[in-house]
Amino acid sequence: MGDTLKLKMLSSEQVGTMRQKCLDLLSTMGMRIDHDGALGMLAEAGADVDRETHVVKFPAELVESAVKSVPAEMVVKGADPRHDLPIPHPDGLFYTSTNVQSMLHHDVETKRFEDNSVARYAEWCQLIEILDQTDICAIQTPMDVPAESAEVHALNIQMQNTTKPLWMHAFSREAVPFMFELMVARMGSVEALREQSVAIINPGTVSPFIMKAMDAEEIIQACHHGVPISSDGHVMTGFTSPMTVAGSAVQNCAETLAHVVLCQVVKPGHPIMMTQFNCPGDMATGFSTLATPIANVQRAVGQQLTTEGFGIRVSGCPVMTDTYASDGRAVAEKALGTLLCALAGIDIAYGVGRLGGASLASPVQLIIDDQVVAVVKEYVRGIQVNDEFLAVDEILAMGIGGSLVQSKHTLKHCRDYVEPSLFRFQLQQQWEAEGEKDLYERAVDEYRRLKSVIKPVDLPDDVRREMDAVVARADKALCP
Amino acid sequence: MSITDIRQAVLTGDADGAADLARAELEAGTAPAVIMNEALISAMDEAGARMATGELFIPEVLVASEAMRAAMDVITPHLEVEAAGGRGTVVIGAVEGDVHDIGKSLVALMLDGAGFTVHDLGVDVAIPDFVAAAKEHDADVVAMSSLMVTTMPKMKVVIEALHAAGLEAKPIVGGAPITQAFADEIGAAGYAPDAGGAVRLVRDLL
Repeated sequence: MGDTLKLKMLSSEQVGTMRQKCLDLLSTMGMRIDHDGALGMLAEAGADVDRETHVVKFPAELVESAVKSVPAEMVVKGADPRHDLPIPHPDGLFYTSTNVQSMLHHDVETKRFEDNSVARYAEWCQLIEILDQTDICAIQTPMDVPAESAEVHALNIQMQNTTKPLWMHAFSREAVPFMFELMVARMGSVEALREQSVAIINPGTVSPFIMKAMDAEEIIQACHHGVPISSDGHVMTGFTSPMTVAGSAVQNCAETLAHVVLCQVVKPGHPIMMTQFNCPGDMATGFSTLATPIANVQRAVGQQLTTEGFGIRVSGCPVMTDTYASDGRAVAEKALGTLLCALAGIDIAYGVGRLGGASLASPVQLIIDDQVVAVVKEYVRGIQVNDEFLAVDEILAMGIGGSLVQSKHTLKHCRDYVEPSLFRFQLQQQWEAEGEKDLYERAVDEYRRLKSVIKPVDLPDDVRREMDAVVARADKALCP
Repeated sequence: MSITDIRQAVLTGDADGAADLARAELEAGTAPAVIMNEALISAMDEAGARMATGELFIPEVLVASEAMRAAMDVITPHLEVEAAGGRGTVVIGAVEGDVHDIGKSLVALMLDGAGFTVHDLGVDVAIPDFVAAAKEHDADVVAMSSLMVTTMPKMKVVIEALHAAGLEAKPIVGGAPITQAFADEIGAAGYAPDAGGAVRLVRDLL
């Protein structure tokens, strides 16, 4: 393989400056942590813990020690080992995840956003199972289950419909133990889960500088069960973090570093990544934006700070758009964001299938994004320069005025470059004969084709029964 | 020196200028209620309208509200008691189980800037605390925020508790997962999709 292209957003000196600012923020201001167990463990590890305010200040040496113990490599695993994702990507590329939380899915038939449901989400997970470029299935919110235990139901749907790794987080602290219990039920035992960890857990800060009990609990449980973590900072530029890119990137890294420290205190050497979510606030409405240029620049800057400054692998959210339709804007924003962050060295790019707003997704957009990712990978893959790829002998053999279309070399390499079906070259006449369909219409055709071949995971009856039993227990415990 | 100048000072966020101009206008004999209604509240209404069209950004509206407050500090001692009461009272908070603060706080700031009396109960507010605060402050509106599907159902419980306590405060709701249909379903008096919309909603309700 060729050397993948890489882009530096920061000089080494800038990385050093920003790194130091992260440490300064954690040692001087610290983080409020609303979890007694976490406070105890951090105090024992040398953090300055105020039991009344729950504010924890992290001495630089504690952070440095935690950073050092984070493994440089990790594997995000699915229920089926064929889908395991070694990080960093062995070809220097990146993996992708769908989006969390969506409560509304765009319906192809009604052409409206409809409530996500058990059936819609099951279909979504089954689609992910067979898409080439979509590596991780993120948890969403079916609306036809009890709200109080929705995430437990959602995880059950995920595990019954895909064997790819799951991007998982809870919506309440009380639900966290049930989610791990459910994963144990799927894999058969705690030991089996530790061996094949099924998911990556995604705790997130409440910016500025608050770690909720739920997220601390997720980190502790993930460490206990051997499930890797990707920790999210939720800065909202201009509202909960500085309006400027450098300041917001530093704050985001500082907040997520607090998660890293807790993780390494609970279990040194546990695999954890840092996530660059970074959603600038829209100054006219106060809402988070997902795909503005500043959002993606900030993510790319944060990536370099994370990987180069702290040696920690990084996920981020560049497969985003701020439009509510699967239109040209969606493709442009997602392609540009993903390209920039891929060049800046992202390990997991998140947002496949998502549309704008807080909770919108579309199965047709999922299919389009899967192919946009394939295209982006072609841009960053890099090229090889050696005798085989220079092919000077081929040029000489062709001679002046000749052709190589029948050469073995052309035959050997003619499929080197991926050309996803939605982006394949077509003659104008062929396009007209097929109904002059645009990208969205052709993606709808592909969606209907895939719908005819997808299916649930073939789980043993006793495993399925045990998983359903965990969900029933969660309903009983969590629902009034 | 005129009502127009005070309005302009407020709209440009010139707190010192707004206060000085209001003081001069008072000394010139203009009634304080006229300054309040025709300069200050009028300016904030215009700021809200310009924000709705994207012409003004939130930080610019907030600095305008600070200028309005500076001018209000000058004229309030001269206002009749009933006139000084403002445009109405709002109790606001994120419902139990929800710790998301930013959207709720922004609405509180914007309502305050628009001249309403705002009591911000914070986040993760227990149901009885909404009722007690509405009663204590004789609230005209109880505004609830939720950013999570798991906490949305608490809004309906708060509305039922307000009714059970015999309070007439109008419950309104907002937050990322909230829709007009959900607001209708739980019996809310209104829903707004953003902070500017919340100000318009409260203004329309009162």
